[in-house]
Amino acid sequence: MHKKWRKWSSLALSAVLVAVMLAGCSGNKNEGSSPDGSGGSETGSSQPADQALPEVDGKYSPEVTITNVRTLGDDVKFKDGEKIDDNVFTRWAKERLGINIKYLWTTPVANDAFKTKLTLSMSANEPLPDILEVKGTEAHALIESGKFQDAGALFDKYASDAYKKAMAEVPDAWLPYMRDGKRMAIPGIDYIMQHDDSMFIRQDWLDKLHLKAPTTIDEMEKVMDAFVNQDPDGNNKKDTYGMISTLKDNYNAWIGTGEIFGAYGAVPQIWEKDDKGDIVYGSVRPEIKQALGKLKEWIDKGYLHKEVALQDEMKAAELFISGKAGIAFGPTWLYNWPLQDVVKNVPGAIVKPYPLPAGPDGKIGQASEGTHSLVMLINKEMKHPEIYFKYINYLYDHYNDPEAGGEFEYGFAKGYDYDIVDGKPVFDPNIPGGYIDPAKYFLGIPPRTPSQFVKTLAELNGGKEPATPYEKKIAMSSTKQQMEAATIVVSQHQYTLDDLFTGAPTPTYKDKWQNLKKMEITAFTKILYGNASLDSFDDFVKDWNAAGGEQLTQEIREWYKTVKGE
Amino acid sequence: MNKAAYETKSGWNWKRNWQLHAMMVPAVVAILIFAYVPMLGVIMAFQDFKPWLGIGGSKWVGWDNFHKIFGQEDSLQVVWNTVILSAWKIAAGLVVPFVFALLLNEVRKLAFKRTVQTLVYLPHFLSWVILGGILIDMLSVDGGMVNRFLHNVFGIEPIFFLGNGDWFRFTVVVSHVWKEFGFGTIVFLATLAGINPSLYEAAVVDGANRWKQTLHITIPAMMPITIVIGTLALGGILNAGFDQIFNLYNSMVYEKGDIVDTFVYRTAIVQGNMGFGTAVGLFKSVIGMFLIVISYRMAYVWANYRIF
Amino acid sequence: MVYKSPSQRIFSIVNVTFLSLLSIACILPMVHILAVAFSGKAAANANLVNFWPIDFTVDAFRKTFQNRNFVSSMGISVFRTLLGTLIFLVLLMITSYPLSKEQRVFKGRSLYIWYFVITMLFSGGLIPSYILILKLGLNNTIWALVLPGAVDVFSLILMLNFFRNIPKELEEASHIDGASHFTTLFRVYLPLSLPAIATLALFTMVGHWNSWFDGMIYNTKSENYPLATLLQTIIVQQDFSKITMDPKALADISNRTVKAAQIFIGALPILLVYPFLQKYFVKGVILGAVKE
Repeated sequence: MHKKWRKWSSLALSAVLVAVMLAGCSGNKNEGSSPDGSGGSETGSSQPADQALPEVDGKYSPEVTITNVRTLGDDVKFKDGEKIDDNVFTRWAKERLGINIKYLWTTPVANDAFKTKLTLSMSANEPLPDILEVKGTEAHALIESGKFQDAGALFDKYASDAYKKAMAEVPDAWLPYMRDGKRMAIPGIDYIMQHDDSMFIRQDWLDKLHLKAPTTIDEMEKVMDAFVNQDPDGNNKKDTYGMISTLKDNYNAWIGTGEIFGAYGAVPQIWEKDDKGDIVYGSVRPEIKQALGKLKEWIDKGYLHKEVALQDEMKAAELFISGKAGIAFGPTWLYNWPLQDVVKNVPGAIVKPYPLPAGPDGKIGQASEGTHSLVMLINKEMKHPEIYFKYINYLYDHYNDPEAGGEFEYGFAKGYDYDIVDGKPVFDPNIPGGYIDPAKYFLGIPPRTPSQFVKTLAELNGGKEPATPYEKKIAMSSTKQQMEAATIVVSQHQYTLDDLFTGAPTPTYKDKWQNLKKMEITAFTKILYGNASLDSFDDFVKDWNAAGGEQLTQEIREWYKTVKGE
Repeated sequence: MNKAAYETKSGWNWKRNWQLHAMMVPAVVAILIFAYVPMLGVIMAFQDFKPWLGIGGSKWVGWDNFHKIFGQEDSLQVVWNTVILSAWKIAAGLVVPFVFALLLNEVRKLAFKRTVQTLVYLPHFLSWVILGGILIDMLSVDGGMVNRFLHNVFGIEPIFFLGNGDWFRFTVVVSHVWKEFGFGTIVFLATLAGINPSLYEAAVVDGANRWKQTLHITIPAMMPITIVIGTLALGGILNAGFDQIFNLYNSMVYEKGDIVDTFVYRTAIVQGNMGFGTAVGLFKSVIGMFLIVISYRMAYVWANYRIF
Repeated sequence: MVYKSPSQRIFSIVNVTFLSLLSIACILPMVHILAVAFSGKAAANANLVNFWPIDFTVDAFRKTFQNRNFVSSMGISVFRTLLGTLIFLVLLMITSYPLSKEQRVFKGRSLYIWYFVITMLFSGGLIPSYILILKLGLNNTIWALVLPGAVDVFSLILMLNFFRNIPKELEEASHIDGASHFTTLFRVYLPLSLPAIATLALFTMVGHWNSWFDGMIYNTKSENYPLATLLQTIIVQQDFSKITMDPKALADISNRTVKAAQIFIGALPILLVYPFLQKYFVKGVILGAVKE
């Protein structure tokens, strides 16, 4: 009896093991096919891929389906009864274009959830969506998978003139995704200069202490000294700071410190050209040393909070919002959020943007945020990629810069991002029933013309009368501070340095980058807190180069040559 | 069946024990399916894993991933940091709830006892993201609650708890204990509740005071479960608490505060290198297994107690 | 009233004071979070709120309950916690009972226990588990959340150690009465192990309630998220790198008062479980049984 049982049980055990193992592994060998009704194929009949899909009155008939996956952040709000696959936008796409939008899965935004889910889904050989938007940095591995088509060719073939014109404003946006002359992903171009910084100052503090806004680092030091030592908030306590800053790991964060470095001629943590025109890593340029010395001095003198190396942007911003700090470098929108809250906490507080201060040699500089952050990949299995273009073209043609009297004159949908009260359009925050942004539901990356927005804001600030529906809307929904900041960043745009390395990780980058980064931030923090002499910067540069930095620089120069054809 | 027969019967004894085996079946099957089958994934540790190729299709790279673990300049430092932090956490995480349970046991007012029990277990429910923010405020050198207290009461100069390597370790261990001791106490309280009261009655008859009773009855009764928990915790010696470190550490304390999991997060997870991540996981498991087996043997040889 | 010596009295006072201070230290963060939840937005974002609300308002709570997902997710979490704990307890009882026997009584025990212990340490990681759930067709069902963790080896080992403390005479008496193992387990062991069972049930409930990752990977639709997964979208820091941000969305995402309110409401149900279970942490159950 014992023997029998043992035999039987071990047999069953191995059977289960083998079965599940096979199921787990073999799944990956056969190519995943798209689920029914997706892949851009029509529902109902099977249409050969090279044949155009039938349309009636500008919409697909019969209807077609496009599949997608996405993150759902806390900022995506819904009206009662609506959800991500059934809302004002999806109904519009169905009625106007004959396109059904289907989400294979959604994830929260936080904790790399999307990336994890995508990895799992691919590992399990689940079908990929027709179109997939990911962060540019994450696209490289996906392109390597060979599961996506030559998006550039599709773009050339199907994109509308308006879309092509917008893309032509930032031709370098394609560079990171070039593979053997093919453009493997479509960059989700964004407004340029939207994240360029200006200097926001507590104007009421300046006025109270009879100071002028600083234009140089030297003047800025004097202003900060006054902000720290002359009790600008009038509470008889020495509890104020000159400027807020984050030196945790990203020096070019949205509460910026890169501008201080820029004033000395180099921007850290990006790949930029040196005086000879060669590509180098900003953090190892000699100019950085001077700036580090200056920042250390500022920490010692209490101009900066002692814990800048611990603070992220939110933590730093608290100091400003609570009325304890006088200067913040940040993008055009920084006043709208979060700096504006200071007015509620400190009655009488006034914040005003000013141009970036110049260094001892008159230099100014800051890091650009690039032309885009997200890219669109198009699944090889998608038989009719024109479906996606039909949709995005429509938005570029009609929504992006809407015509007067057109479908999207005031916004996407009445009762969502605008409403009509007494025959007049009203926008956030005056919409009865509350503002809900339907652009959050858009499929893929929302359409954007790079030159719009910041330039428009600057023009309106310069006194231009809003004429087009777009200008009117911007004029109504922007703060004065944002417009002034826009004027400043447009005038200082020539000082903004692009990060020149945007390509796929090179071999050395893959192996050494984490270590190099850790070396850098550790060395800098030690200098800033006086745990190492300023001269140790030179040792850091040597060590950095020896630990793979030099090799990496070579590889990145090579890459730049291949994409730029220099 | 009489008592003698019951005890001396050895061997498989199917007639009597088939019920015991039957009881094991559901858990054995569940573990087979949900633990052993996916365990086959450890082969990823020997692959250059690419999601789109899957476990079946990714390239084999032998021991490459393991070479990488020790190929990094600072990997020994990182492992050492982890062991130090972890060991302190395990030790403090045992002693504090143990003592706390004993103190609570001396309280006679039931309502007070239950209130304290409930309150100390609250911090367990707050994530490190939240607590991290609160701690940074509390420990600030610039007017933080703790430094103000230390200065006003003891005249101590402000301490940079999160910016100095040694203080950082101290802070990590203390804040971990503060967050978890209330939750950890529950097991000990359950053990206390299980002690046979007749033992105390006998002790009282012998004239033992509370302290003697605690020393000779309560503490010995709690030892087995303490050893069990300690041993099992050793299995996780290379997990020093990712969430906590990740939310508290910064470039000032990398040298003493960077642990295996944060290191793997930066080198593997962020870069999507799953093979490397699995290799590190396997390494951690082997070390953990080794420690558990050793302490299992030690408990058996020295205390004649089988932990499990 | 039992007589207390002076030294006992002093100890008692010191002890109570110490425990009270410790309790206060533990409750402070929760008080802080509550104060933030009841505060105005601007003050909260400036980190001005300590332990008392500034610009008192209940807006954050109203907003939380207006979010229909919040309420339905809470329902899913309750169901998952109850079902998961039930399955866990049944498996725990019937598995730890045989394992608490001595090797010489229950041959094969050592084999079983190491079979379990190994899984406590070694795992193949996320990817194979995900593939498995998919192949079993459990994704998008509640089973994907309750079955994989149904046998917890750590709890198993604790429980079998608790079982060992039960006087052997009781079991022998039961067997002499002709009871089967099943009967002995449910008539003798179970009633005598209530503190331990309550403890492990609590651990499991807390675990289920707080577990968010499985809810995220095994559900394709956010409507089916348990509460912990939903809260992840709110509590955890968003990706705040400059370029991935939509300035317009930021004010929404960073609303600390709503976050605080949701943390509090999210934790409340599970916080209430413990005081309820405390009545099982009573001494003397074993004594009564032995004396009978």
